Amino acid sequence: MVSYISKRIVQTAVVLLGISLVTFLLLQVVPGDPVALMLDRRADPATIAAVRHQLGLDLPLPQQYLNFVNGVIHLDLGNSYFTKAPVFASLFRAFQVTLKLASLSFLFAIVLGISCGMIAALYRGKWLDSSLMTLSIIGVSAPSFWIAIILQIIFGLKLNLLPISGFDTPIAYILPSIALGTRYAGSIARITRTSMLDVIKQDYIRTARAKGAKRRAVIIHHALKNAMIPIITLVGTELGNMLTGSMLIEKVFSIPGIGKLAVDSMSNRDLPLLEGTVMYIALVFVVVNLLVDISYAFIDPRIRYGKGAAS
Amino acid sequence: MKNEALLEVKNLRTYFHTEAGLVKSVDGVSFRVEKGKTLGIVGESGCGKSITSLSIMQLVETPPGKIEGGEILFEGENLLNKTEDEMREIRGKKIAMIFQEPMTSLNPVYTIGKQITEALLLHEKISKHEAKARALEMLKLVRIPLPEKRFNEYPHQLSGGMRQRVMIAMSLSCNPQLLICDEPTTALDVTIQAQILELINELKEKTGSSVIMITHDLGVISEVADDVMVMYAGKVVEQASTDEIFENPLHPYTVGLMNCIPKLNSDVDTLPTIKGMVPSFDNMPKGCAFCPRCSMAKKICEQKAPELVDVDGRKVRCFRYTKEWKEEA
Repeated sequence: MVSYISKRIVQTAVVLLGISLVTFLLLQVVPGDPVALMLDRRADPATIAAVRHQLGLDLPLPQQYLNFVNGVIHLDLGNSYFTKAPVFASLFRAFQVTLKLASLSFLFAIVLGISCGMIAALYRGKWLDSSLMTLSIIGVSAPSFWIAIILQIIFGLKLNLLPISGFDTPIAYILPSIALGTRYAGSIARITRTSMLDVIKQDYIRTARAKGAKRRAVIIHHALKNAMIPIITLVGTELGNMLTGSMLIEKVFSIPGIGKLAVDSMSNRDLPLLEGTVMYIALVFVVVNLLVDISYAFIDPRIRYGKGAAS
Repeated sequence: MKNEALLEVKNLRTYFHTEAGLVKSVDGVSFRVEKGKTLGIVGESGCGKSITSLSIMQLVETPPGKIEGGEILFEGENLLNKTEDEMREIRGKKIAMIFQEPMTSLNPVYTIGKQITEALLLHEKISKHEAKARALEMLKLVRIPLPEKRFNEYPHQLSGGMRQRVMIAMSLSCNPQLLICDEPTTALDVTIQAQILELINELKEKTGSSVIMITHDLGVISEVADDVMVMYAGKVVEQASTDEIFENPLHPYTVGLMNCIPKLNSDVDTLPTIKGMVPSFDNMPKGCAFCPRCSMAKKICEQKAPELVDVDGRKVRCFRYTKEWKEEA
């Protein structure tokens, strides 16, 4: 178990290093000169050169990359070309907002998705199954911003129950969480149903029933744990997506999260902020994948002990 | 009928309502299992032997399967009238079952110990600690080396034979009166097969429970069964004691099965087989289900389905033992 986890952590570090190199190189070839954007159009070449020197953009590329990596390691991602604020601070502020939104919508998606999927599997072929699966299709296919606007109209404008924008009170997060989580709940429900139906057919489920276990106990103890692997794989990717911000939802509800930061940095050619955002997104996915892999090992002993352990 | 019957199945009918049509998997099957005896059920794949056993446990998936009629008398009580809660008390406690695939019949994500103690904790009023002690005792009984170590291991860490021993330990942990073994040795090596059969026989003697041994292997039957029931296409085609059936098989299908056992002293290149296949449910012959494969078939076999008839105290479903056969020259 320990060797499995440490191996995965080392792999994660290597992946992050690779991502930093790719990010750095890609941003070098993106068209548009940030310095030209920063300065007035009539700025003289001497000023431009001075600014480039000040930002370290005149150094050879390998040197620039090393400076970048060194900064990342020291949590110093430079200052934004525009606001002049430290990138790390801006990222952290946006992250706190996104984290609240992501956790709420994640909780919403998991609870709703897994329970609907299990109910659908248990009532396979019945009307309950068909209606839940129809709902999940709608949830998966409806654009999140559309759901967001509908929710705003119903709960905000018509019923006047919940605020339709803002991010400073907990109840302000309810509508955006539902709008963001609905799609994920739909896909979690579908994979839970498929996975459960697959597991219910297995011989060990029959064995458990033959022991005299209750149907519900068999489903919860014997089936769900086995059905978790595909569910966790999907849930992990979705958590990554949520934590890296949703530009649309943040826009509709005026929430200053990671999504908004990413869009702003791109439209402004704000290289340090963009690099920082990309590194953050990469980090989130790598860490979430690491957590997913570790949770596999907790669920399935065959992964924990590796191939060699079977006699 | 000298001994007391533990289980008596009367005219059991289990049908499957599939999209392609009605499948009569078990069609009017009757048999009895006496206390302390072993009944062997033999037949090819798809003849309804497994569905018969699942019907007794009432573990047939409904839908598509459904027990349409008949009686399953266990200790005199009809199991078909029991509620699901009452059946749960019987499953694992009074009637236990061992399945064909030891590889897939154990849950891969729980330890051996947890899976054995689960049955004990469900049916006996004992603490977790006592359950563990009992489970270790059972593991010793089925001769698993290092039971304390195995207790905390997962199924994938055990070999096929060991897993089947675990299944046996699990099913016998609550001292059931009836043990149903559904092809318990089919997935195992020949040497392991012999050990497992020996173990089942030995434990049966020790606990005095009855056994239903389902198999397609007559060799297994000859080793463990007191009585034999041969099934074909959902129906019983022959019932007799093991000695009688090996000495003098009556039904042409039983004869065919016997001929399929390779003999050590015969020097042949091709093994004998029964020609053809079990008829599919949508292609069931009008007359005797075995007729298309039978070398002795006459006209009557194509026209009418034979009934189960008594021949010297044995039962066989074949026209050869009826008046009609002699009349049709």
